[in-house]
Amino acid sequence: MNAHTDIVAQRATDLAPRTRRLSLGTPSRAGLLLGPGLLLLYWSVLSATGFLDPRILPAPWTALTTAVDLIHQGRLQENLTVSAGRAAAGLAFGAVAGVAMALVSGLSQLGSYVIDGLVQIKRGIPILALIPFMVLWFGIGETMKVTVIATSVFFPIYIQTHSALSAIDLRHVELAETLRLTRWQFVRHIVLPGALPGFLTGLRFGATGAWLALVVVEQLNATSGIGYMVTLARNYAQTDVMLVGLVVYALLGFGSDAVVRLIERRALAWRRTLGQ
Amino acid sequence: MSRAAFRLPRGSIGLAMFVVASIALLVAFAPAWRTAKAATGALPLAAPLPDKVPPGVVLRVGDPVSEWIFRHNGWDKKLPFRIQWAEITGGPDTTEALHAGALDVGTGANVPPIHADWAGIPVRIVAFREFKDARHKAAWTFGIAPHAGIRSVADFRGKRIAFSPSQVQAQVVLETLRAAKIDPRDVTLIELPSSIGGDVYTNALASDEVDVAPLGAGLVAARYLSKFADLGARLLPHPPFRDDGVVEFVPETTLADPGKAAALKIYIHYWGLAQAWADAHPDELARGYFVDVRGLPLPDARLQVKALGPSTVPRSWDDAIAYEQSAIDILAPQTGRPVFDAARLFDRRFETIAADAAAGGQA
Amino acid sequence: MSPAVSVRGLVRFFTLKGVLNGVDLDIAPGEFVALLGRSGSGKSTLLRALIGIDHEASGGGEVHVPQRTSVIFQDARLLPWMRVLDNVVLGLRGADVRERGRQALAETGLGGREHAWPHELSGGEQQRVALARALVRQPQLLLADEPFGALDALTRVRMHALLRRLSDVHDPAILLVTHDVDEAILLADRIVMLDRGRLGLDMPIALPAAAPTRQDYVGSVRETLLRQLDASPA
Repeated sequence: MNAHTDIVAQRATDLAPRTRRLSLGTPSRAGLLLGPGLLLLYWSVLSATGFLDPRILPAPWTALTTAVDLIHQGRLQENLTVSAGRAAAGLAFGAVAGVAMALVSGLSQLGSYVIDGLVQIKRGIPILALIPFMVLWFGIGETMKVTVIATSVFFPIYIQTHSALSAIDLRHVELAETLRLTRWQFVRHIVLPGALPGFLTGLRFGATGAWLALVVVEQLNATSGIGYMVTLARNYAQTDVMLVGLVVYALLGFGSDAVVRLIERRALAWRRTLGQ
Repeated sequence: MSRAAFRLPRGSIGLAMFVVASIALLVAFAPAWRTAKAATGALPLAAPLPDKVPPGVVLRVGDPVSEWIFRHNGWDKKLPFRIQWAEITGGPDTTEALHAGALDVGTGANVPPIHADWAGIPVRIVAFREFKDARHKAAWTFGIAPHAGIRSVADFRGKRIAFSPSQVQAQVVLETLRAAKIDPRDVTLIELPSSIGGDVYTNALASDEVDVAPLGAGLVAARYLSKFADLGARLLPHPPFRDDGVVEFVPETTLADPGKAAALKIYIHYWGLAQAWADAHPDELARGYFVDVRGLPLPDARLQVKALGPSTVPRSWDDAIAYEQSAIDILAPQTGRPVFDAARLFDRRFETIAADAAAGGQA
Repeated sequence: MSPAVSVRGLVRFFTLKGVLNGVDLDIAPGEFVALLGRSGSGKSTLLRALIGIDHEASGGGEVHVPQRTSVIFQDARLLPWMRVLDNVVLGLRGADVRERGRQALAETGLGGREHAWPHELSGGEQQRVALARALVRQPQLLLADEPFGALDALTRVRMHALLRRLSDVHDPAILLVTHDVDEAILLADRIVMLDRGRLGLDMPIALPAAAPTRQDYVGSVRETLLRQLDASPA
């Protein structure tokens, strides 16, 4: 900013608008915190004034103090590491499988018939309904948990990536033909970058799906992880620990979404869309 | 990125005023600071139980078997109050419901009331039943995982054992270790709440998450064996000790409410009748409840009913209190909770109600 | 000298609609041919057949085009996720490829813009990158499908000059499809016109150097061409 632009900005605000602005304008990022901020404020007030029974919902600062306790005991880190590890493994497997299947289905007609048909059917069956079978096939150990998570991740990634692949601009395909690109060059320079935005969207949904699946599998037959910690807390009527578990899940979900959005901004720096 | 002056969106002032005003109101009308949630009813625990049930009393009960027996015999229509039956059984779920204030009467083995007390929910036992032949009949047995290499209880040393401190299964484990003279620190106790269907523990055994787990001696154990015997799964009875108490227990808030206390008195009377009826009609119970309601095949249903009885409702709670005390004594050190007098858990105003009903016969 | 491009009896139709009805065309090496025709006359179909990307069409005929053929379309078709230089050298192999790309960009007047993103360039600049991309491959034949149609008048004039200069330097055979009669007269050595699925007119162009005669020449040629275009059915 230099003196000139300051003057220009000044003049701009001096002008009274002649036409009423109807659209909302670009939102300020800080503004999105207003809702959660108000929630936290009211929650604190209700707890402090005694309206809120601490056994039903503890005060927000209790979440902090309990978290500190759990960290001292080592339980929070231990369970968090296990949970995060499961989610990461599931995400990795699901994403790789999703992309691979999307590529096969997108680049080969036969592949498309076989794979896409199956995916569309499975789409209608909620993953949670398959869990009893997953237990039968994979037991209740880590394999089953990671598999359930990977399956939850696979579908959004496959669907978004496949959709992006199908939508690859025909003009770019023609360009590749005119330049006589090899199949590999075509995939590398046109298919993959073209599908990247779709893949990243799928990754955001996949991350959400991963946490959802994680929550579910950790409440069934688990002996470690945040969900296990919460199940035990339910048994002991420890509402404060339950709250910490919820907050941890929220932070993980929010954090992973933020990470993917960051990757999106970097990887898609060449895009000039209104959302930036 | 341009840095235009940050303009507050329309309505900000209004919102701010609303927030300030509402918070001021909340602070002004703050209820008296609650410490321990004292029982708000009028009825002290020592006072005699009222006889009259005022209109509009609802008793929320979590006891599916009793529910079926009541309905089958038409007793629920004879009651001067309404029962809201809840599909909640087992220690962990019942504790959770009590904690949420969503249940007036729960059912479980002898440990859940102890656990509730330790979890800060004051409860009282209002009914107790046991096996007629507690010395020679066990309610629990051990499932052994296929490749655990365990031939006898002495082999538990160094193994992974499923442990659920809020349930009687934990007491069974600890008493077994004591009988085998194994220090609990010489085994790996895997804290894992069990479920009523037995799924959790049988799955844990089959997936090699634990080596040993206590299973209900009826259907659950039989199914575990039939499903996994060819993989090497086995059952192992525990050393001789008592494991058979079943209780109905209530939070103290229910007892403090005179209407509910009166209703409870009548409910327990009928509960006693139900125990006698179940004992006298095992086949009807098997067909009517376990087959028609739970969907089990008839042979399984019969097996389960057989495993649950024959039982009796004792007229004196001295033995029950002693049994409960032994549970507290053995669980306390393991869970780091204080030992307390078991008698505190029993509301002796109810001591003879169920027993008299069971002995007497009709309503 | 054998022709750079040789087409015999080219027939193309799409479902029920016949578009090309037996086209014969020769283009000599280094010759600049402009292809005129009304909208829907099949100019683009012919071009796409020459490029070889008309997979959806049916028909027959013989087409011979040189090994090194480059194409520029009406839209620049730059890959938005690659910088300008990367777009220019896309698909090329070799150690000196990037240097050649830089030279090509300099020739089209975009020296110094190698690291820009396509969306940072104006329409005319993007089309110049497309030209650089086409020429860096040292094509024996350059096929251009109404490459300047989307540009404003002033830019178009500049692009004409650029194309002329580049064709003088690199000397490929060029087939320029256009609906702009003046553009055809100004740039081409020869003008052909598609009429009812065949080549109707085939007219060599020789622009006189001196200004007044040139004006008259251009005027009369234009009249002829427009009359011809007018006469052919829609």
